[in-house]
Amino acid sequence: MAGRSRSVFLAAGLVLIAGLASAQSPAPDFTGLWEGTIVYSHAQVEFDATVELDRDSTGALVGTIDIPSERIAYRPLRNIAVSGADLKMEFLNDSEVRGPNAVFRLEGTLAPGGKAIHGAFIEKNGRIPFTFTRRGDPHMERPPEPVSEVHPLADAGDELKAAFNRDTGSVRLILLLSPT
Amino acid sequence: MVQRYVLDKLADPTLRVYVVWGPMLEKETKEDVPAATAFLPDRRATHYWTPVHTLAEAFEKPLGLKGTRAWDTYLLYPRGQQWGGEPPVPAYVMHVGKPLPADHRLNGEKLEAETRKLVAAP
Repeated sequence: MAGRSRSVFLAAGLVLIAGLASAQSPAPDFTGLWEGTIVYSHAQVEFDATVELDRDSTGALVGTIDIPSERIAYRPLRNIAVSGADLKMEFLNDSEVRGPNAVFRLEGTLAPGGKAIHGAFIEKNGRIPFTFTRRGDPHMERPPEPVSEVHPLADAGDELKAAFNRDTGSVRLILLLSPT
Repeated sequence: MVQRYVLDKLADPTLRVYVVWGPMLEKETKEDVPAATAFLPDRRATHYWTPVHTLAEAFEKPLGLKGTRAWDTYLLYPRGQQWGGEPPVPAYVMHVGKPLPADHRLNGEKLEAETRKLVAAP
């Protein structure tokens, strides 16, 4: 009888401890300013992205995404859904392939510790991996974009040629690019 | 790509990058350029804008491009090379979507390795 009582007491204690531990585990917190890279092809096609997530007055998650190389800035996120440590969200963007206002989906999982989200950008042809790292609280001040001076070139590129020959003691890279 | 894979990894202060922004897609304007410079903020980089295709066409010949403007190309030159009457032939070239060897398609790690070789050369 005494042995049975001890077992019941022990079991009740374990349930209580488990309950307390569960109550003390913080719910996954996705709010914050997150920065990362969507990697289509390592070292070949990569897109830097910033995601900002916060809660509105009703407690629902709301947010925006920036992908500077695609001229996406503070684009609203929609259909944000959380299940445990998993997060799903979408945004709209014009697509050369899918037309205007195409839906782009991201799915991720909050890493233990809450400092990173590992996931994938969902594409028609597969899942493109990303990792976002938490940079701070939502609405934190973001550093200004580092804009550089731009020099106009004569049609034949005389200024470029002069710089190239002036810097002959250097290894030099010339990039011919579109700004869009 | 060049900032992350080349400039962030090679500290050589003498390395120079000249970025020529231009109308590759026929719709770009000089107002597009300041925002684009944010992708290459390194102090060793100099940014230029050209509203015409003259330079991109002048680089067709040294790259072996016939009738394809040299937009979206990355040209690497060693120390000592001069630009004379014609644009110089690069020691190494990478590209995006040009009729050039597929193994020279833009890859930040390859470009960093090739640049590192030239930086280390005497």
